[in-house]
Amino acid sequence: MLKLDKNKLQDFLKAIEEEYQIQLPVKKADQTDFCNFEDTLKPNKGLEIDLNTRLSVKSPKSYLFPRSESYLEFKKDNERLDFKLKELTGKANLIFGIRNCDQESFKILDKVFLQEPVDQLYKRRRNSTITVVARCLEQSETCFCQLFEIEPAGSETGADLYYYNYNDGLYFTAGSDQGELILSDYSQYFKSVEPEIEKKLNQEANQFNGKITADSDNPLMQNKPELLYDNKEAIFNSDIWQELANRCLECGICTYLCPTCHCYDIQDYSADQSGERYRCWDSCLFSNFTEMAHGDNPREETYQRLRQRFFHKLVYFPEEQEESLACVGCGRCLGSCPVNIDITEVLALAGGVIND
Amino acid sequence: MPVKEKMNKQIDKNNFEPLLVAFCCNWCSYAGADLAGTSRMGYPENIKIIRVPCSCRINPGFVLRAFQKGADGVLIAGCHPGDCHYMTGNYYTRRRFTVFKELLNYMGIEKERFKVDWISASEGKKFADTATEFTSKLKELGPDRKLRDSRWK
Amino acid sequence: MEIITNAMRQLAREGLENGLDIIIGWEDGRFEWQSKPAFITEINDIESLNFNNYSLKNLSGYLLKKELKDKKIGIFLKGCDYKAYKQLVNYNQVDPENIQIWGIACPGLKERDFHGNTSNAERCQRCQEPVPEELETIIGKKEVAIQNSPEDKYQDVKKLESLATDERFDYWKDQISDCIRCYACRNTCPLCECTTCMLAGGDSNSDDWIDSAKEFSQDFFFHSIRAFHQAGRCVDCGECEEVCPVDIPISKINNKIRHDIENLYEMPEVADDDSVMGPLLDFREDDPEPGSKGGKENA
Repeated sequence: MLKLDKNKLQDFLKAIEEEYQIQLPVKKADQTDFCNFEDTLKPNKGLEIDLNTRLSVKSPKSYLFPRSESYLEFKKDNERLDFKLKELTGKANLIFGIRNCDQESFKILDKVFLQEPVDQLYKRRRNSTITVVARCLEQSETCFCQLFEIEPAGSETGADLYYYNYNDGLYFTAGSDQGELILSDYSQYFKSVEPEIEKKLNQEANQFNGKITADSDNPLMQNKPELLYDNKEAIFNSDIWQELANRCLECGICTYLCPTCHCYDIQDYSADQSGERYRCWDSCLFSNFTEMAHGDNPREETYQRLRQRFFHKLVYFPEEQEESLACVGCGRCLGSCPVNIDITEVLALAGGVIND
Repeated sequence: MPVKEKMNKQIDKNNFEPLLVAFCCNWCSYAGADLAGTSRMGYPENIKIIRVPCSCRINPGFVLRAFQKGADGVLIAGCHPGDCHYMTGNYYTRRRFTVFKELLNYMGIEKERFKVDWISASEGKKFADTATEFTSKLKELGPDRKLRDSRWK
Repeated sequence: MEIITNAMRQLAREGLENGLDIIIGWEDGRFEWQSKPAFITEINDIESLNFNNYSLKNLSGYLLKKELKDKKIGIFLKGCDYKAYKQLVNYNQVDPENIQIWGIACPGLKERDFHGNTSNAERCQRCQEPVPEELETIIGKKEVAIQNSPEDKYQDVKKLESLATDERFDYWKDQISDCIRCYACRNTCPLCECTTCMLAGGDSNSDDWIDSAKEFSQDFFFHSIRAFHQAGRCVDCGECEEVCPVDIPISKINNKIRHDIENLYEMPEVADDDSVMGPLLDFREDDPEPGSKGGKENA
């Protein structure tokens, strides 16, 4: 374990900025979200690095799966149509201060995009992204990662570096060869750590990991996420979906903020004699999501779309992907849905159906 | 040299040729533009006219779309209030674009880039003068980068 | 709040007993800083109705849902919600025949920001009509209803207007660049009721007006045209800004238009009946010219 003094953080980041494009949680007005490190250095922008807020507004999935990504340019040249694939340019990405829930979500996105046929756009971003995880030693009221057996303070989640945010320092351990390399290449910024502190932090981590599992009073942990998978028909046909649909606004907040949601649309932009094709996020809750070319819409009603979303995450996805559930318990849907529809509510309602 | 090629040769500000899109109502301002042409009154080639049946056909979306697709300035030219071919069309235009012009300015777009004017069928000179003035104003202001779609070529 | 809640439950009970199909009100969300819309059809569920400090949600938008089309509805509306309802009636979007309304004298509510800080809701600082005076039944004490001066309505707009044009652009560029085009603002707005929306990105309905790319000019188009479409209709209920996940100050755009219309055309915010045309559907021969600083403020 190596310590980086917090007052050296900026110097360290400036040093590694040569190699990497750094994104980290930044406080802007009333919110905290991932921003480019270089923006925090600009005066008058009012952006400050925020390593204390547990969760960012939007998940960092947008660094692997951007809000929109143009990948093909076409140009009309007399009667010819020329095509050119767009290259991914620039430095590798380093996402600093990501939490274990978001880190685990990358595993789920990998299952979607890196299995055959491989999504090249995702793959090239994934291969050029380094993650530095901030290990949680506290949770907020909206957290429930442990419901999905994710260890918030863990260091086995596939990231390149892990750190504890403790007192005046950040305490790093490597999670991969790439992480080791960074620690050694920039060793001048790091100090060694007394074994007592290392032991104390690891103990705290273990206790914290165990504490949430043992906490039987947490309302978010009451219903097992396998509930839908184990009782598909009963829950599919129940009227809990209409109950939720009554207030659902059919917007895209839950899908866009969710670290595991990955639906997209492909659109073309036409300039005068040229244009580009791009991929952009889509939401299964939009009313026209399943609208067909001939005008028919198999999921015209809100309750059908709501039901499909949760069934996808908790039934269809595990069916396809060796029982892996497509939720990481980050809690963004609990805080952001304007009408309080979230996956724990769905589990609670589903639990109610089974117990009846 | 075709106008488009001229546009693309924006080497530096001195050689900048603005693109001015003018929505002209068929009965008055388009006829006025015609008159300017037949009377051989010169006016800059920067202006591209889109003919509409009445100025109230114009949707504020058209204006923004023109800016997105390369326009540096947009002009809406209609009949004088009270003289609309369809009786009341331009009254609605006036209200609609008074509000919209204020909104655009509030959102940070220079007032001078969007203009609403009343040009009758006999006012060929007014059309030519408006086009000339607007073009030189736009040359001063420079190209519009605020509303242009970054993918537009 | 207790008074309001108890009265809500009482009225809901009576309503259901007297033949209403469904009651729309509020109930507690999961956390104490949440409140969500409640749809009650059984008398047994009445106890879940609760009006708390966070019951900001404007319920009038739900009257447009097609599932409620021929039902007899009872609904609770605060002052701001009622304005939106009246506007919907004027535009023939709801049929008042089947709707029983109970007004709420609103004491001003709270909101909680992303970091967990609670404060008085911003929209309540501008509110001019916390009590829907016209209604027969009003619950809650009128004396504690929030009171603001008329100048508060357009403070934010005036502040922005005082900046230079380029400064304003920088401000809006910064704010609008955060937009993820989730469409929550459009979906929650009670007065945004077009069945085919021209701003739905990249599909057949939108006729190619706008696409779904992360592109500033597209997001700008969305926000300014949506605000413009609400010109003369928006009642500043504040829902759009409330639901935005990235905190875009949408009401500042809508309020600019409201301010201009009030200043230029002397029309009521919400007409008393549908004989009065909306401000952009009407005209006077002496209307001010575009770009002239007209209106009663500059007379």
